[in-house]
Amino acid sequence: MFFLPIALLSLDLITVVLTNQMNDHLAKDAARAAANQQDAVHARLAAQKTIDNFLNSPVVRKVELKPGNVNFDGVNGQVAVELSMSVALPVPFPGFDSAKFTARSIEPIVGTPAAL
Amino acid sequence: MSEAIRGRRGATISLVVVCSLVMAMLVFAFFQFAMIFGGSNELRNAVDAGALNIGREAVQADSLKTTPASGDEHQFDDCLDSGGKISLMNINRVWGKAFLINANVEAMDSAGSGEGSTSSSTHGSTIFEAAQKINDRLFAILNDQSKIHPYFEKILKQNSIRMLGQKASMETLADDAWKTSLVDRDSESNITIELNQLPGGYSGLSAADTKLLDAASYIRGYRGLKANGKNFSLIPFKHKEKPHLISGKYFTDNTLAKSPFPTWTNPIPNAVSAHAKSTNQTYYQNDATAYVVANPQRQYKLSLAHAFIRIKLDGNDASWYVNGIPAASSTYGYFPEVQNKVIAFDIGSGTLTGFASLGNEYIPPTLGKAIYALPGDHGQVTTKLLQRVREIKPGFSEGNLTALLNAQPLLPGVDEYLIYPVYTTADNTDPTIMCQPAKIAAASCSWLSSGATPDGSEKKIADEAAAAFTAPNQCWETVAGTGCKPGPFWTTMQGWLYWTAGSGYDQCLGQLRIKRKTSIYLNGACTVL
Repeated sequence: MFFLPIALLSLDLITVVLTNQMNDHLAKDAARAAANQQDAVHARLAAQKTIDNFLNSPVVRKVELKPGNVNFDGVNGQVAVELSMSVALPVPFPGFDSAKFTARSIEPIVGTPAAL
Repeated sequence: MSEAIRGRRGATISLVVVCSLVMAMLVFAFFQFAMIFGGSNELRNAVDAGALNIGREAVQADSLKTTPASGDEHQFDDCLDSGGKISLMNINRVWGKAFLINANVEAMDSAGSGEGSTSSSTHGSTIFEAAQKINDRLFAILNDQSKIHPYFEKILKQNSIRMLGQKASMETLADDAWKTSLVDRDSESNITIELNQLPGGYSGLSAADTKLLDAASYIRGYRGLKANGKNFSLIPFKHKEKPHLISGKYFTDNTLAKSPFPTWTNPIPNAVSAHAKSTNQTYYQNDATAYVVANPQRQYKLSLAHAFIRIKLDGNDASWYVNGIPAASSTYGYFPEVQNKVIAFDIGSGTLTGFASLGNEYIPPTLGKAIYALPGDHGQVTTKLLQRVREIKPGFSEGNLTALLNAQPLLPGVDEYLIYPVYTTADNTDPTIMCQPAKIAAASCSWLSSGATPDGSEKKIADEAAAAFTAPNQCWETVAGTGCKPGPFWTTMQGWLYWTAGSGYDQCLGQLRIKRKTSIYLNGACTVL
């Protein structure tokens, strides 16, 4: 009887850790895809495509890339992508049945040729 | 309850407590491990991102560039970027120009050419040394990790490694893990070439030294080329690739320590490694290394951007003969005119007045006509002019040349015309070839040293001749005096075209000098009663 809550809590903890890492990874991939583009419009589309290719599951409910969360800064030569991931914990506890993670990744823009 | 049952229950409770504690510790250990693993990944991602920024900035950051110093390094002013500097992006243009000038020197010095001179040979060495000096400065910059750190850290520190602790951060590890490498050896550089740009007499670069991509031939990089006894090499930048990460093994295998490149002193690298560590972390310190290859994503055509060819009209002579004896001489211009000479007969008191219609070989009065005025083998003239123009603008055709020369009218009082490029881009690419009188060309192009002379030796490359009764210039005569009668009269014409090759040092790629002569034969006699 003592084991059960510990085991169930462990399951939730594992889910939290793994989905957080997954979100970090996805943000990096989205930022890397955006950084390979030549302008803000294509950068946003590339980032969105990366997220669209991510398969949601009963645990990962939604990955969101809000407008304005792809900041393509051509002047400073970098792109920042911020993602939100909504996760449903497999073992809901009262007051602790879901989590929302935010990950941010910054990559240098490599999609544009060197300045003349 | 019996003692035995109470004992068993107590033991079970203890076992459960111990197991619970062990399980909790295992969960905690797993959590710690997951945080370290996750944090290590975050560090690696941040180092990768920082390294990619090095790949991006290595080709364009101002502090990673050099400028031509005084003297002969300014021969490369036409290779500079829009900011007047040389970086990893355009150093291939510098070496490309030095190579082309030395290919010209080798061709000029080749057996049977007779076009070379002490000056041109010296210039080949001079331009090579100037390119090497620029190269050496850029080599020092790119191998100085302290100059590269800021570009790495700019992106590195904007990413987080919170899984290693709330206060965890990253810093550059300035150690010997920072290296440079020469990767993608033998792959394409960012310089295209058309083999017909190369001078006849030079054979040091063939199709095997190039790679055909998207209908353009790219000179291969990190591959030795020889010209005029010197070794040249360009840096490879793969076509349509962006700066990207590469494996540590590939990077290390191509470092100079493991894979020397003996034919290039201080070879410019195209790949860099970066090293960073975590600081103020809750857990163990982590470090990561990333390897990146740079790529400017810009291509250039092999060319001498600031160069010109001179066409010099060296005048027309007229030689007058009466009864086969030289009687007078004169000169004439490039527009039709009539001259006359009055010559007294040796016997009697009569005179012969000869007339000559001269300058007709220049109808229509264009530069093209001025070059190809009389019958003769002009093959070498066209070959030399076309090849040299192609060193300025690859792909320039014989049709383009004909149209260019025929579009330039001959102007009174002008005896020097230049073929030269005009640019609208800040980096001297994609020229429009113009042909204008030298003074007009000099006034319109601030870079043009119109007074520069070619550094080779002059050589005759074409003879022209127009036989009697076929020449465009005509003559006639009248005689005056008792017993004097006119005889037959005719003209013949000759032309000579001389070529002085230029290596391209000091801009002049060559000079075509044209000289013509009309011989006027008049006859008559007087009988003395």
